[in-house]
Amino acid sequence: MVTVARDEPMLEIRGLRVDLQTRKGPLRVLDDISLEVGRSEVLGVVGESGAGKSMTGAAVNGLLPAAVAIAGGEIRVNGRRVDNLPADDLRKMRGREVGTIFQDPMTSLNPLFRVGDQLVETMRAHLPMSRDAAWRRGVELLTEVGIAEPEQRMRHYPHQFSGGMRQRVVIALALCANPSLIIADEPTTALDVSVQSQILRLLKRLSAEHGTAIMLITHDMGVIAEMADRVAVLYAGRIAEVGPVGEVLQRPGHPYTEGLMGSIPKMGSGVPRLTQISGSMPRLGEVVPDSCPFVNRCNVSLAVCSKARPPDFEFGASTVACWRHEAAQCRAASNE
Amino acid sequence: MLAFVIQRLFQAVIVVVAVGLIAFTLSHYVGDPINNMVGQDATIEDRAALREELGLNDPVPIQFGRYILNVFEGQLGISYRLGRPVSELFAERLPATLELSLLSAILALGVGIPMGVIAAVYPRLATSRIFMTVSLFGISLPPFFVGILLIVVFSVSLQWLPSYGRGTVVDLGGGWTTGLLTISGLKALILPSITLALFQMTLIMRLVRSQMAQVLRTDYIKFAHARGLKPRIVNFRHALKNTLVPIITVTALQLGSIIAFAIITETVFQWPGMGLLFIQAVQFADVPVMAAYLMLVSVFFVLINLISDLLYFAVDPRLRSEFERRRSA
Amino acid sequence: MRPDMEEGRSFLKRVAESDAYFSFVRSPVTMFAAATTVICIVVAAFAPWVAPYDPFDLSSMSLMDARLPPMWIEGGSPAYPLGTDAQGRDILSLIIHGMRISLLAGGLSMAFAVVVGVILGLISGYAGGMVDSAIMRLADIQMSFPAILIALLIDGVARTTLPHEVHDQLVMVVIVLSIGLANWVHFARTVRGATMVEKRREYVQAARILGVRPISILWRHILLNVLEPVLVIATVGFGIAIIMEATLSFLGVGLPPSSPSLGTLIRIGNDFLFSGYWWMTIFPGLALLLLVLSINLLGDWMRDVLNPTLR
Repeated sequence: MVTVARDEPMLEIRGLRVDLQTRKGPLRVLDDISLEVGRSEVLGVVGESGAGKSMTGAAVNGLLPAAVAIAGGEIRVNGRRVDNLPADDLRKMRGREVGTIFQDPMTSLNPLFRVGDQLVETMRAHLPMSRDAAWRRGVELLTEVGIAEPEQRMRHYPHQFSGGMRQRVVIALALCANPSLIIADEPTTALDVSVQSQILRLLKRLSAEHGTAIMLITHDMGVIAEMADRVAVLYAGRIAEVGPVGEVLQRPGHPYTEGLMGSIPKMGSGVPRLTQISGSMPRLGEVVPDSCPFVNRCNVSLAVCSKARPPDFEFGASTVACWRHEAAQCRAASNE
Repeated sequence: MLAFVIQRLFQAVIVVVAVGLIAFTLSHYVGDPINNMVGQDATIEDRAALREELGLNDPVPIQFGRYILNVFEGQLGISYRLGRPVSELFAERLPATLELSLLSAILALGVGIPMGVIAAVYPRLATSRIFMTVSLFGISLPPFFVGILLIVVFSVSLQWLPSYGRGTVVDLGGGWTTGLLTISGLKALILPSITLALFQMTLIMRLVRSQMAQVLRTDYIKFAHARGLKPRIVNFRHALKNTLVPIITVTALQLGSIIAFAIITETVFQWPGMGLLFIQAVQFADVPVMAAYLMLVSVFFVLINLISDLLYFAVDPRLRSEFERRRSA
Repeated sequence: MRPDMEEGRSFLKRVAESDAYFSFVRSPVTMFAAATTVICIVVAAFAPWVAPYDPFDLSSMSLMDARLPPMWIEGGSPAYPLGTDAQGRDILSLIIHGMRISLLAGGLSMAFAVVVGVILGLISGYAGGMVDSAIMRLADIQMSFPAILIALLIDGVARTTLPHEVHDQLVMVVIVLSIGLANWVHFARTVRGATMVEKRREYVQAARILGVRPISILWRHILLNVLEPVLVIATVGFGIAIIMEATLSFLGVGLPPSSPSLGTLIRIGNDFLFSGYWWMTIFPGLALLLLVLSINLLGDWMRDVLNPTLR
């Protein structure tokens, strides 16, 4: 897959650190996360639950839980730094510059307000529009996300929609002020399998048509394969590997990614059974600072892995935080 | 909509008839009505004649039907204790209780709901913490003790306000008296209405707070924030509307219990209302008054519940369509 | 999750590191409430030994000592720290004995409400259908009537049907039954919900196949599941039950002056309020407030700890 040219990234995260305050002191939730998403690009963020995927999304749109706060690094949206914005500026950014899609469409919409009213209030919170103009644009948006009879549907309440249709409404709400970035946190997990790929295709199409960047958070490698241009693999609050989706899926550079790939069935690959990674991800605060967080589960680990934290190594078009690539990089460097 | 009202009315009638059955059983089988009406020296023949005359020998269903008919005609029996028709006693006492209860309800709802909303939306505010502390005392103080404390401070020590009775009342015609038109009547209302309102107010505040706090944790509120709506709109348009259904329930329940707690307040302040009449009836086993009070209160509660059901219907679109679905099915 | 990390830790250490313990030692108010509740219960349990006087022993009373104010007011005597009542009884001793009766009435009524509620909830959730809707309809109707009115009514009926002497002997039973019956609904609803969830679980089906009566298995599982919510409701309900008993006694339909609860004491004292003997009613009232406040604080704390989602 060809990587889209990324001269000016829509979202740029540099060295982001996020801490959870506990009574025993701060626990690092995200450690030195660096990511960028370009125009029309879909960045898949993958990892098991607790790896910090959703926290990354919440840090960007300023909706971190009360006890969690950014401890370092910076976040830029459209080149503007947003990690230190005051609350009201963050509020203005949400919806206008960063749209959000949540996991469960059944609970994302307020049951007591008509779909049209929820669209209109979101548009009018960000754009100088009359009620009528906003209503007309709402009808257009519903058409765009593939909802039939949009004029009538605007007057319906959320409970009158099916799950897949509700997620389309949620997407319309995320899009309605033309944001340049959409954070989609498990947008299809709660949906029927038959509806999932429809929603993914819709997101992909909208991203291409509007030039919207999408940060797609999921635990499902299948969704990544279908949707993403590039993928970032998160493990225990750190990035294990980032790269173009084809590279990472075909030729994973990190033993953890390799393990993840082993746990999904491949069509015609001839592998007789699925493998699984032994052990479990270290919990918050259990990662030894000067080591690779994966070292205890890794079956190709080196002596250095438990002594020093792996820096990012180039591996093809990807960046991989694994000591095994140190040798390869040295060799490459000495060949030059 | 009409079908819904009819369905709810039907349920209401069932409840009232059930309570009527209890009241009927009370007044016909608890104690001997004949004994209570004639003296010790009445002959057996006299008693039998009276029994026949009162229809006490008729089959039970006929007696029950007659009892219900009488109730509808306002014939609620004769008080054993006071020897006067219960309906007459009620007519005298109803205005006092209604005036006190209504004032307390307005006070309790008008203060309790905003306090609960503020405590839920701004939990870290010092004001919210004060509200929570006050409410803890509010539910821990027995209502009658609040009344006694108020009397000690404002009547006994400061001698500012009267500690019993309604003060001077004005007859508005038809036996309807009010204390709202005289200074002494208004002064007499202050302590009892605060006493009656305080407990309800704290309950309302705590319930509203916990309901609203639950709503504030829902996904659609988080999503509303993610859409970039102003916090004021999220809190007071979205969250408050979703809290409205539980608020209506709470309000209905609390209005009901104000009538019950009026019994306590009226006892503390010797307020000449229905509650005082009822508590005296319980103390003296005055069955006709007890039974009639029960009937009246149940009709009142059923009405309140009916109104709150209709309000849900107006607020929540899910209820409307669910009802339509069931009807068409 | 690392189960191996959990193993080997002693129970005490787990308790010391638990959220419950942490929030307990961090909150002086909760510790004060717990201490007050425990002291009240201990003092009440050993009332005859703790109280300076026996307020029911007529020989120890002297009308000479009647209506003495508290010791710090002129005319008071250190022998009666909180003063005496109209019959010369020591207010402090009366409060200690009254608290014993209040706690007993409140505790028994709550226990009765728990038993009735748990049984009806279990039946309702397990049987479903007509039985369930009958019980729940009853619960709905009862919930729309204030508990105090129901208790008054039950007491009123008992007073009318039972002969006077019998009623006086049974008054504690009547009070416990009427307060208990007025408060079973919360327990029944909680247990019913848990039962309906549990009865669909596989192990219940398995038990049925094995020929074991599922209800006997359900019983244990459900009890474990509902233990925490029932504990919270019961704690809050305990405070309410004590207030209800005090209210009934204050209204003169509760415990008689021969075995006075705090409510009865307040009622008796209230008659002397306008004669200036405020201590006869204020001190029992403050004792009642302190007791119920402590119980409510404990209940609030328990709800926060056991149900973190409500924090």
